[in-house]
Amino acid sequence: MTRRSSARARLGDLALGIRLAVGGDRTPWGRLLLTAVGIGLGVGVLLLAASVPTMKQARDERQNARQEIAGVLSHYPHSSRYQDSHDPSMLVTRASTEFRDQRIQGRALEPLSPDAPVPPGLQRIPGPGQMVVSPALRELLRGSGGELLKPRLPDHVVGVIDKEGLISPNELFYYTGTTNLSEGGTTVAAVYPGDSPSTNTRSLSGQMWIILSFGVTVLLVPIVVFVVSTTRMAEAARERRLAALRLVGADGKQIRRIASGEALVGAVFGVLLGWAVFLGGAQLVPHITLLEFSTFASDIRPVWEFAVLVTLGVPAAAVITAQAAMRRTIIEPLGIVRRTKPSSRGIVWRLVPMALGVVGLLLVGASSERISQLQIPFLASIVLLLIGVPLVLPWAVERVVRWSSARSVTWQLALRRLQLSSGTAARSVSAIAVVLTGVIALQTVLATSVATFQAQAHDGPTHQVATPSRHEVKVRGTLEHPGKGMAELADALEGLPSTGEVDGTAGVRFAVPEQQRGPRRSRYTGATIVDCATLLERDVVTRCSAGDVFQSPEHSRRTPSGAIRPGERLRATSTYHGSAGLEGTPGEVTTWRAPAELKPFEVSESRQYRYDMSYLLITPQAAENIPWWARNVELGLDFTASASPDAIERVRNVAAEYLEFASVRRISGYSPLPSDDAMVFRLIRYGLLLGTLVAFALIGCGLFVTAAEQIQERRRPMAVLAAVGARRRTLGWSAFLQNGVPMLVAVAVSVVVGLSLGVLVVMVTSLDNLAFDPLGLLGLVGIAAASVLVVTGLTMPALRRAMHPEGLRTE
Amino acid sequence: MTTDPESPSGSDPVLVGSDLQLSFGRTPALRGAGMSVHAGEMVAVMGSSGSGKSTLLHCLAGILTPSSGSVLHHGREITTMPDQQRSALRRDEFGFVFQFGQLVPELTVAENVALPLRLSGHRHADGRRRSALWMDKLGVSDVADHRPGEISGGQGQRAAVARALVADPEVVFADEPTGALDSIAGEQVMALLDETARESGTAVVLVTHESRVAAYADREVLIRDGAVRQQESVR
Repeated sequence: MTRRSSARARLGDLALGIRLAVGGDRTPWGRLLLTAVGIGLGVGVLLLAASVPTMKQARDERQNARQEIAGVLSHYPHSSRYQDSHDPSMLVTRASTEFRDQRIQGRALEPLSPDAPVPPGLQRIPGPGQMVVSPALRELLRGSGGELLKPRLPDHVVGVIDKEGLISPNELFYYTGTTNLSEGGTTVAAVYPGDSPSTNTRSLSGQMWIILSFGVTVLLVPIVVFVVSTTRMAEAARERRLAALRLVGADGKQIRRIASGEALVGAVFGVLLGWAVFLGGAQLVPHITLLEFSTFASDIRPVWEFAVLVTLGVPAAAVITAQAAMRRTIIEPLGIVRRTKPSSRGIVWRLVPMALGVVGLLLVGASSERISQLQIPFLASIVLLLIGVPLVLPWAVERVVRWSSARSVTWQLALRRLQLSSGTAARSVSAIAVVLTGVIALQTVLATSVATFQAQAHDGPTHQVATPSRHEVKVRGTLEHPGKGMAELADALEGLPSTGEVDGTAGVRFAVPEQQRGPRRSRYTGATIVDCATLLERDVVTRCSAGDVFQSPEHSRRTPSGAIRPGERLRATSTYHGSAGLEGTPGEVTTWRAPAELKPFEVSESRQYRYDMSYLLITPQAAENIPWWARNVELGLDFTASASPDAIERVRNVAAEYLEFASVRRISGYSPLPSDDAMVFRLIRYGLLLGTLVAFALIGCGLFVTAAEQIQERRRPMAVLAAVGARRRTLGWSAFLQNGVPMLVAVAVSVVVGLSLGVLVVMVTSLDNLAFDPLGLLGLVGIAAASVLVVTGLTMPALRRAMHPEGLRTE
Repeated sequence: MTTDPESPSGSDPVLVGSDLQLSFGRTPALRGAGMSVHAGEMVAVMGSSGSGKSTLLHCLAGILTPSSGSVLHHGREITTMPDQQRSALRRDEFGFVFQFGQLVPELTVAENVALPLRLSGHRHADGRRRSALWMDKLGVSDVADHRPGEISGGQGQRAAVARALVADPEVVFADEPTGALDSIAGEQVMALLDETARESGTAVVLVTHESRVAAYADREVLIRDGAVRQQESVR
């Protein structure tokens, strides 16, 4: 018996497919390599995306573990666990600063009993005058800037925080030991939610989450499309090969198995490469910091369900795509000998996903639910719209080339070729079209968001300093103790080299007792303690007497607490201690009573204030019973033009000497966005740019292979054309048009669908101020045009070889 | 007019095509053509370009399905067979040689020759043994490990003949087997096809427009405008 069993025969067919995929000279290997690289990069990105939940979970776990330390303190009034507990085991205070635009977070610890908990990542609690620092902070202290930072972190480094105590590998964090914390004192930060790693606990607005998830979807869908279209690379050659097998007797099922084997090779290599890219990339990630964000390599672990889905799904998708792609080969074993005129493509079913996507988005928009609760239908609708693009594209390319007419040989050659195989041409640019569509839509949403935020910002009071000078600095904090006052601090700052005028105010945060406002009103409002001289000098008021209190009529409208009534009693709190901090501290509650007359003043929308300006201004004489600890010092100072970039660090050193919770920041212009949202905006912009470039590079490679294979396939007609006198330039332009026309159609489809999708998302997310990004759009079109030029340029040597008379030889 | 002279051997025909009609779009390719093939004979189908000779061959081989008419293989209608059965027929009972060989470029010559056996589910070792035998007969053993792109056109056609005969088919269909070769290489290929087919008792349907090639045939069928005009024994 020489025939194999049925199962073995099937395996044999698969093996033959594998053999076909890896056989031959350079071309199949090149094709396989490119397929594997394309799929590999896609799989790598998908695995990285699948690791995001694990990354977040690992960060959250470490963050929570770090916060547990805070929880042992007795000062957490909202925690029933500790409210009635016995003596605290440890006191903690925040000791954070900034250095060269980096945030350094610290905690000063004072253990009160032997069972004081050791913070995660530490072997023991550092003693007085000792510090345990993160590896990144240790490097910073050892580096060139260490001397400048040392005055703020003078303690002796006795150890390094382990990974368990850090949220990210590049985090600048430290613990220091101390003995001078006093329970109930203002220097002791009773622990409150959000204190611990505040810079890493980014809270984004609902709209930003939508934009972020939209951005991620927009960048992931083309990868899936690319993985699918990559498996159809060099389809003409595959069809020819499989048709030859049909001629010698392979039946339809065998052909399917052979094609599956062939497609599997590229996909499996791609998946393996993808894992290698992912694992290799994970080792590099800790060295990369993007907008303050980095993560440990060990945190980058894909959720196993997603990992299995990607690992098995990609080969399965490749097999399914290959099966779908060879319908004509099965019907036409003579496909290589005689090609019938391709049947024209229908449009109706191709529009179904898009239509479903539009309906889905409209339903989401019409729903009374908040959009953050409809994320799945929202994103599914976007995905449907995006995957509709590669379905519509072959139809659009076919129509365009069918309706076009050409007189020049260049156009004629290109159009006739495209008329014969518009599907291949459309597929080669389908991933580009998806990228373009998504990015154009996202650009529209981003432009609209920026316009909306700007409009909101202009609508609000100009509280922030709007001076665009890079040399202006704002210092904030609370005085460390009564002895070191604001005047001394101002003198010390003025004494620094390169420092100009220093002036300032103090801010107070008042709590309005609930019974006065009712439970639904916010309980807090702010006030500025500022002397008459400053107010008159700055034209804030025209008349001022010691003991005056001014209230803007805007106060009732602009602040959550509403206007303060004459004679109303308010409690002073500290912004830096949080709402729960001093309020619950026995003996520290101080009541301030508004005077019988509150004089009006106008907050000018156009005037640039040098410091935070509240709607309530209190002259120092009217603020005498407001304790020093509740006064948040705020000073503005100038640097001379010749000041070194480190001048601000010297200011920070001085501020750290005088102020508790000192914050010193450079004013570099007005920013209408909240900082976290601004960061996400930047992240999305960077991500878009990077993702678009990577996508174009990948897809460009695919385009190049398709173009090169077409030239290879048409070597003889090329040689004939050369023999009858066609100029190289003619054929070169023809090749350019063969790439350029589908790209042009892809861009047109993408612009229409992308802008429509953008407008739909804007409508659904209820953003006002619809805006477009014409420059961004032009940039994308430019990149698309450049990719066609580059690909055509790269195929020129192959074209030159194809035009050689050698191609005419048949024997 | 369709005529079917008796075969030289007087045996029943292996394959009988009758009244075959087929159009490509609006262009008729076959208009009632028919012919029979008997065991061990070599039939040359001749005609000018576009006369329908290749289409007739494709219909007889079960590659194309005529719009009307019948093709009987040992009395079994193949035009109505499902694709799987026709594929099996092509795989096990028929062999093919085309103008450009149609060797699979990714496979070596040896693998190409063994391909029909492999597709039929034969064991690898069996395939290797039998393909080596046929490569030896056709004189391509020395290029067994080469790929089609690395050998000459004549070698490629000889490898194609070996592939056509390796499964011991009843009928080999050869469509312009020497069309892409020079005269010396063409003669070599035809001589080998003739010799090996006769040796193994395989019938050959040979489509050609070269009388030099047709001279190898036992019988000539002349086709014009999609219909058989004349059949005559030449040996």
